[in-house]
Amino acid sequence: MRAAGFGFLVVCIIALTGSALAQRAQPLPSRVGTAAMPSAAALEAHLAAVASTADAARSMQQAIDIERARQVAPFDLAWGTP
Amino acid sequence: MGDTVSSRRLFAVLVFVLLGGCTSDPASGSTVPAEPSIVRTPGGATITLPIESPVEHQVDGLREQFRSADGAVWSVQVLDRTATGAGESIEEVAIALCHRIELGEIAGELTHRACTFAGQPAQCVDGWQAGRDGDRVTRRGAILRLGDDTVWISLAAREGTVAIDPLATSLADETRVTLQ
Repeated sequence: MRAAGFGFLVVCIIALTGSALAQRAQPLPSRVGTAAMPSAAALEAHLAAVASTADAARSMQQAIDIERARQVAPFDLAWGTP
Repeated sequence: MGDTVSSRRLFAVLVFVLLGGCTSDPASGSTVPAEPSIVRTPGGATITLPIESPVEHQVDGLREQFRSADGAVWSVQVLDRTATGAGESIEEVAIALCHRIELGEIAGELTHRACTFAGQPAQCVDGWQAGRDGDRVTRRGAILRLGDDTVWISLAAREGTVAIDPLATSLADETRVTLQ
């Protein structure tokens, strides 16, 4: 009787330990998703940086185009105005 | 007492008139006395603009301008054979000039079209642009080739101050060009 009780206790301990180990080995999906997603503020900052770079590139291209046109027609636009 | 005040006023008026006659726009080159509105290009062409008695005539290198009493400004700018763009057709030059405004170098809108100006094949350039003070200036004129020189002849006035269309017609029809 005592031996049967001891055996039952051992089986219970093994079962609880196995369950705990199985839970640690598989993290919750929700934890993984939260860690990978950037915050809204970080996303906004990133988009602003991209837009700023695009504006700078546009301005530079515009300056190059104006200079190219000025090479072909190097008149002074202010000359001859009141 | 009354005579003294009158004399002082007369003196002040004389000083004002004398100083007024000597002022010039420092950004626009030297000011020279008004003279007949004839421009000679480096290539030897002579351009006679249909403007009588200009009140001011300014010369700065290969560009000249005449101001008439009504405030309109008649100008000639010359690109000689050494200038960049000298080998381009007048159409290419006109396109590039309008493109500069379109790209936003200064505010305005200029268009070009093939035309005859002073009896020469030309590109007429019309529209408006921001003036020196940022005010809106109407501009009419043409780009033409005179020998090796490319010339922009233009008439400009602040919008709403001068009836510019009759003057522009006069500029196109009565400008005389003599090629050497």
